[in-house]
Amino acid sequence: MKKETRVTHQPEIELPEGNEPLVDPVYRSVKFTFPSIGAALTPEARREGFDYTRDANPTTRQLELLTAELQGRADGICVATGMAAVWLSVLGNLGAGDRIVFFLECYRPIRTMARERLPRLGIEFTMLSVHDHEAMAAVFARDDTKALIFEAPTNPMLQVPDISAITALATQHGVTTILDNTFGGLHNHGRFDIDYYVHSLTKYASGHGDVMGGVVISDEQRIRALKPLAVSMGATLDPGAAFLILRGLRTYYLRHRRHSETALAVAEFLAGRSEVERVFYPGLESDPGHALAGQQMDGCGAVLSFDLKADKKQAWAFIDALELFATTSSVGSTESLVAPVKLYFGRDLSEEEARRAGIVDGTVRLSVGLEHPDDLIADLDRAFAATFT
Amino acid sequence: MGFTTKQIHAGVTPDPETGSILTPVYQTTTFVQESVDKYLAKGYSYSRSANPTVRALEEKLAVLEEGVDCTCYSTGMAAIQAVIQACLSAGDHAIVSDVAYGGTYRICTKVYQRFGVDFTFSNTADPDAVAAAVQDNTRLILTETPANPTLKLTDIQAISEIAQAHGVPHAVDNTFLTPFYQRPLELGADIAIHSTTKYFDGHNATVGGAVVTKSRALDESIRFIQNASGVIMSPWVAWLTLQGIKTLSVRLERQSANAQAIAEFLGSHPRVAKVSYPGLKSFEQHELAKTQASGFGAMLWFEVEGGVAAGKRLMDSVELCMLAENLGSVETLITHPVTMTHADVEEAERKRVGITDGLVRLSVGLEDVEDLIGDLSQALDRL
Repeated sequence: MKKETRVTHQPEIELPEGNEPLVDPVYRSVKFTFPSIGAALTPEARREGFDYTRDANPTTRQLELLTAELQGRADGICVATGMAAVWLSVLGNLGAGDRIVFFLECYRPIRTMARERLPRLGIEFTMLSVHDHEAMAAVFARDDTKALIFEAPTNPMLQVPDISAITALATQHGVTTILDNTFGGLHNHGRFDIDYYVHSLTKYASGHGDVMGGVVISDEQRIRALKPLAVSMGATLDPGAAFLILRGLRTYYLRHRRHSETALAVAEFLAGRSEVERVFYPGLESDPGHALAGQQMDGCGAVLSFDLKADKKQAWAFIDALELFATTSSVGSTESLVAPVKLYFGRDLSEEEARRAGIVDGTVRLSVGLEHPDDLIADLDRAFAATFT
Repeated sequence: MGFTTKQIHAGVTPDPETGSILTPVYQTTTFVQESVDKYLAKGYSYSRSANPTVRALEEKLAVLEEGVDCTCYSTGMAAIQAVIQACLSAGDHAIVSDVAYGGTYRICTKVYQRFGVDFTFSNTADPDAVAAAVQDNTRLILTETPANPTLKLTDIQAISEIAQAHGVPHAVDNTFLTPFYQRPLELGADIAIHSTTKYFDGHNATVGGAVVTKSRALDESIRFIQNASGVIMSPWVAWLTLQGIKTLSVRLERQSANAQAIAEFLGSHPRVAKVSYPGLKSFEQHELAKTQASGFGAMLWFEVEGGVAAGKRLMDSVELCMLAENLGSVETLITHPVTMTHADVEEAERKRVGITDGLVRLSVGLEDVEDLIGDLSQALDRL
């Protein structure tokens, strides 16, 4: 063999038996070979083998199996982002003429999808409040209502939906339930009667603010049925991203516990401030969702919102005065983050809708990181002093 | 500026902080804003919406395709999907090449038909057939040239004229030739689509896709989908693709020369019934191949005597050519569509798109051509 051929057919390194890497390598390869055509065509190879990374990849597969197990289901499909997971679950369960139900309180891109894009595909929508069970019962009873997508807790206002009540109503009318469980976390809400879980793995799963990813989790049959659509959409997760998320998950439980503890300390501090009108954090005893969250969730997570007694200008000055909280979107990373809610997450809402969603000019969202709680509280204290004199 | 100069320098400027000649991998999900009212002042907020490493690749590809801008995706299919979703709504109609890539065919028939979009799969090699297929509600013409795997060509200019006359965008999947050899936007098309997995990366190391547009308005509507549907390219993939593109013209020139030599070798082999390569004089659309592209590419197919059994035997006899369905990489890859890529496709459908039992597709790599011919020769001798 000539050297010019050799460079594209490089030496193989075979690991001596038992001499294994502790951390599995990233399978960057786009293609996987088979010893023969016959071997490529066996049912096992077609079901479990690897051929083309758009369709399946060992590193990504590892992440799919791990996230599904943490969520308490059999299987999952990883995709490029959380929103790609949302789209996959929605397009997989709806066709032209069908209706989807979602909630006013949800993440802005989900509202944009449902209100701006889905009607173009012939899909109708009904937008309700996550607490309005009566209206849900009525719309679920319609023949054309096929799916519900909701969050627990909601982003950005941390509303806690009654999952048992909602899923009971949906199941009664044969409505498919999709729970965006990003804010709940992979270890939460697995015991409920949910058809599909979607997660933005960009948040708690990765945890380090460095990688984007999403997953749809369900039982084996539903995932098998959804897989061809995922391949058609080409929404594939980069195996390098899957590797980083697998690394992030190694500290998932440690981080989530610490996030929840620090967020509670910060929420309690904020609740005691005269400059603060209201704090939204289900971990807080005074929060209307506290009792329900206590039954549904283990750990309320890193994210909380609060209303400053301030107009937009003063609220923005408060945010700018924070030093340890970086002004940006996203949540669940090791660093603390802050975002002005109306500007970042409520731009598409009318004044009336914003009011119903509980969003005012002074609403601020925090994602509490892994820093020492005393430092974070001191930073908030300093920002109050600097902007509320 | 020549193409090879542009493939190295376009879109990439040394990092202002350190002078790093390569664009750093911005492996971050989120970008800190200087203050609330300077939101997006530096152009970045969240990596789903835009990421500087991905942006460098988008800018490079826009320059290479001579478009106004580019959006990148997780895969080539995600790129196709973004174009379809941006251009088509329930009640709309699209004309799609009848020999388009199977994945394109599937997303039309299995996904978008469910959402009330109507498709005509038309012989886009025949402009009259395309003109006849245009309806009042036609909103997109999607072609692929050369087509995968038949290599059937579409006259980009002729179809673009029809599209323009009806005010419909013409999107061309330019994966097989890349802008080094063929520039659809210059020929009148509105959108160029790529699986960057193939020649742009060239090393079998990433999957990705890209869409380059001629107008700002098209880019904006497609970019909206890129962000909203979240089928984005990761910064690592963008970085590897940026590196791959620096050798694109060099690789493609060599791979095409290899393909020409192999096509000529196969043409004279007694066990080969037919060879199809746009660079051969015997190629039906050889003249069109010469006029609309500056090279013939590195994809070819041939038909062995003896149908399915012979095709399968050949697959199992090659040693250097690797049995894998990708294309465009430095490794030579060989496939037998009837038993591999199109195993699930009904016979009538296979025949319709020109996939015969003995058809073998070759993605010619960068190896020494003597080694490749030697390998094919020994395998053919065993038939």
